[in-house]
Amino acid sequence: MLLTLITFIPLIGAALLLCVPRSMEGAHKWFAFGVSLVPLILCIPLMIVFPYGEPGFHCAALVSWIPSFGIDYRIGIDGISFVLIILTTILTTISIAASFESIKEKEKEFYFFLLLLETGMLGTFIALDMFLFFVFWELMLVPMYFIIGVWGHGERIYASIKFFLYTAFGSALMLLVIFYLYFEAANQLGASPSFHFENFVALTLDPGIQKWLFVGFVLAFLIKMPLFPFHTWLPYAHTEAPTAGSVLLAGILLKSGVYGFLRFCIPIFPQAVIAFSPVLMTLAIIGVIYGAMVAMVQRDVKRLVAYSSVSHMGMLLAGILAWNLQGIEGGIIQMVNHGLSTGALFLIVGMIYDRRHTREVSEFGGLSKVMPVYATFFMIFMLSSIGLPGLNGFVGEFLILLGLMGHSIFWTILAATGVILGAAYMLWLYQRMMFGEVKVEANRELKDLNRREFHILLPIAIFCFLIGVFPYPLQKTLEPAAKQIVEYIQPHLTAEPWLASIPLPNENTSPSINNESNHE
Amino acid sequence: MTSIQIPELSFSLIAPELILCTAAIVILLVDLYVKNVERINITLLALIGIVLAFFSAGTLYGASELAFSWLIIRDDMSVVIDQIFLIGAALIVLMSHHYSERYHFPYGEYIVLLLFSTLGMLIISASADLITLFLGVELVSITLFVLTGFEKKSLLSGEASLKYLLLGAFSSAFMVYGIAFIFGMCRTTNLISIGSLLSEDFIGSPLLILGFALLLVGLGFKIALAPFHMWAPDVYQGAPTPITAWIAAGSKLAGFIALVRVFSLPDISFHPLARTWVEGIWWLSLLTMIIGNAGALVQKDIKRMLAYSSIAHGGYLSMAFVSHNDVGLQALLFYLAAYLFMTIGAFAVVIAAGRHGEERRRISDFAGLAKRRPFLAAMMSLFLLSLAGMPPTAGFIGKVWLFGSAIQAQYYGLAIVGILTTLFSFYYYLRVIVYMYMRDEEKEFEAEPLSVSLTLALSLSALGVLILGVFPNTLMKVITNSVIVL
Amino acid sequence: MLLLDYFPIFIMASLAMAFAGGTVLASFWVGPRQDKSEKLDTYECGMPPIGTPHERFNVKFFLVAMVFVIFDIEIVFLFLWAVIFRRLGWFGLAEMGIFLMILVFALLYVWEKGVLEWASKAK
Repeated sequence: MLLTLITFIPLIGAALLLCVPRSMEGAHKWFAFGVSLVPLILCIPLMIVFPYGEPGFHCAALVSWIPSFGIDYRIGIDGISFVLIILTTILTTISIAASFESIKEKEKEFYFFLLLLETGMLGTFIALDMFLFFVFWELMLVPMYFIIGVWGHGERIYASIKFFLYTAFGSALMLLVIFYLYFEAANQLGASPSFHFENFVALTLDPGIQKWLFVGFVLAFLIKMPLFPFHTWLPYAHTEAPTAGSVLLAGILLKSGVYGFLRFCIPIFPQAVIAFSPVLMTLAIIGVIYGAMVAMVQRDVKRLVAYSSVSHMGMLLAGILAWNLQGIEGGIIQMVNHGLSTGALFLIVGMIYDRRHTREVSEFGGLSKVMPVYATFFMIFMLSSIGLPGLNGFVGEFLILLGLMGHSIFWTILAATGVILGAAYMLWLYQRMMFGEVKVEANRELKDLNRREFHILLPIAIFCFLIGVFPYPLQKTLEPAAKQIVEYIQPHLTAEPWLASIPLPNENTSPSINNESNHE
Repeated sequence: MTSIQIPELSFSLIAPELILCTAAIVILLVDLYVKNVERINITLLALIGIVLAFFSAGTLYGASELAFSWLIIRDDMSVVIDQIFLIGAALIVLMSHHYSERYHFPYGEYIVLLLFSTLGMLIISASADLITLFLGVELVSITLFVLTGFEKKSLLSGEASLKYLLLGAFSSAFMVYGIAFIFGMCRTTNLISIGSLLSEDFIGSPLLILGFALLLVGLGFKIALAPFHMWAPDVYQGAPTPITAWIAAGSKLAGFIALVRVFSLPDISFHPLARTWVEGIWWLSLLTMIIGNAGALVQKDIKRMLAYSSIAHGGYLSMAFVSHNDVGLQALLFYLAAYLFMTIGAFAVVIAAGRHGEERRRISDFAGLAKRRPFLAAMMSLFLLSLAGMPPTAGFIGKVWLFGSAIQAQYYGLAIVGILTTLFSFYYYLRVIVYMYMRDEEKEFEAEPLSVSLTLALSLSALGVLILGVFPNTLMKVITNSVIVL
Repeated sequence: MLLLDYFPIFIMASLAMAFAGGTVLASFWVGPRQDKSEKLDTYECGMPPIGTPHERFNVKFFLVAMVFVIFDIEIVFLFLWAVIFRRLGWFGLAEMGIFLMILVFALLYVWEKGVLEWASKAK
């Protein structure tokens, strides 16, 4: 019930928002802000109720939705979804607050879509029924499309359509696979067909077919994540979106890709995941280094942060693909960290954009003298993104590298290179923007953060420190879920020769799968 | 002299048809003899007739009988379909009421023809005989030919009407020819007798296959399956917009129901002939999806765009015949209902966005609609997203169900093509949304205010799209039950 | 085989078509040709043609023709009905009454719209 409330209150709020007359200027944003506070506050009882350290799904609920089709409203959360729900509610509230001054026209629609988006995001994280999951997954798409396309900058229309088509392509294939599994489940399990994902987990799938199904299924998540060759929508979407859109896109939507991979792909297609993990690992590491190198040469601050996302997400996936507890845990913690620090960096960029209406790095310089508070926050988030010890980024990256180390020294070295490059472009960016002399006249007049902006950034900064210094509660929350994933994957991992060495994508993959299936 | 045994006449089984027919005749007479009758009264009369027919159809659930010497079949499926038709007709009447204010055409006759075309649709849905089927199809077609040309002063309308007439007559000829072959081989036109004959040992006669193929071609014209779709864009563009909506929704629905009646006979399903048809329809479906969606990509006129989108939907819908199972048939019926709401809704927005003498039909005319008329833009987005198949709308559930049926029947290729063409369709649906929300209008355009009737039609369609999308279970249950009875 | 019975007809039809087509083609190929301008001109009683060769009929002709066809078909039904009128009894009378009534409505419509009046304003 609690979860349902948290998920649907934004939707109800959005519907009510439509009833607020257009003439009441300024009322819409406060109304939306108020609505978004409700799920945030409801997270407190959720945090009290949630049984930390216990495996399985909690706060579950089950209501029959479309019985003639075996579709249920089946929800429940484990550690991963719990953390992501809290992150979602926090970031939504923050991004609404961050839009107060930057969104000047069609305010009503903007906040309507933001609230709709929140329901979509929250629903994605609680759904256990595949059909329900798909509905929420698609529900994220439309509001974000509008947010980018209507309130974005520059090439917003191109960016929004590219975003929509890329993501829709992935999910369309996913839908087909879901249906295949549904009918297969009806055949194999005999019981009345249902979209419950644990039914799909219980299926025995022929390895050959499983590979194809996996490809169809995982594309949706890889595109959203985004993994290296599928990332081309991201720089556009991130750059052109309004600040709130970028924050939620980086903070939550990218995470939903990883979440789907963890929650559904791994349990349903364990053998195929293993078979493809060399390919995925290669792409992930390419993404880490490629993203970092492209970020380094960007002249647009927002684009730079966008490419840093590509790099970070590759890192995160690499951690998961190490298939050990440290790696997976590190990956999940990094999901939260990336949501906080990259989200915050987009806010930072948005604030300077509101003042100067440009994002060119060369337009700035010496800002630390003009805007000391701003510079301080920027530094905190920049360092958190780099992974300085004592801040949240360190915890995640350290665990990921630790996990990778247990997997293959080769990948660890490459991933570590990515970390170094990450530090390089971030520090360089900071140096160019903040230090030196104030070269551009317009910059001398800039006002430092106002109270609203200060209070938007403060909670994120506090979280960054908290996780960095005291990561234990987060780790404890995530541990059972991470262990669960390891358990799914462990029986299929037995002595795969290529896992220890440098992987070649097509080497030995299919025979090893066949061995696996013979066990069962 | 012995008196003739009069066959049992169960008028109660065709009550909806009778009521609708009576309503049409009453309106005809009122329009003739009452001087200066208000349009609102005609609209109300028509609505009363439709509502009465709707409820009388509702009482027929569970009847499951053959009547009038097996000319009429009254099963649950026909009742569901009748009710869907009647809802559609009511929406069209509401739209027409607004539209006729703009273009002064003889409203009484218009409504009468509209009701007669609805009557034809009801006859199709309840026909158990090729003759009744043909009667219904012709009644629908002929009334629509006339209605298409109702805007006498518009050249486009006249051209559309003539094209529609010629190709319609052409396709009817195909149908009659097909029926003649079938009659020649089976010595009956009754669908149920044909079904049982075929299930015995009537296999593989080339003439019979020819007969069914001709029938398929004839009906393919009516539902605009590629390559029989050429008339659709011109007719959709030229016809008065409410009639375009009715051709897109009602007439297409009727054509599909006719196909269901012919190609889903209880005994035919397992017949070797069925494989031949399935193969044929497989190609038609594939071709239609590709041509429809590709054509829509390049359109500049919104009605033409919707015409191509409607062609594409014909392709998705005919997937149900390919999968040829219960799930497919259920999906088809559900999607038809969903499709009716979203198409009618989209055309209602097209009407509402214009004004007298200047209908805004280019897609670029929709620029800035969101700023000027947020309600209309929101409605249009809803209908377009539903046509594209985004949750939580009716279009999503329907499409998912259809593709699901193809997967169940293991036609993976067709399902994948369906999904991919759907992706193409996102592009052109989104383009309208882009114009409405993301571009500014070129010059200020003061559109006429929304009338009550049009608002009603819009809201009802939107409600239908949303309810079928979020709580589809009620209709699903009814449909699932009705298909089992079949 | 049912079809085989029709085989003679098929032969007959083929022969007929072959003959018809053959003669046309033969005269086309064999006959002499003199394509001169006088030869290709429109011929109208030795006079130069006046006006367009196609004259448009007044639309009223078509309306009357259609009305005629409708009521003519009605007669076809009436004939059959009349033959077994006694055996059908009251039921037959009632049924035909309904049928005719519907037609009467149509007649009224046609009348009121002015189709039956040749010279005056059609509404």
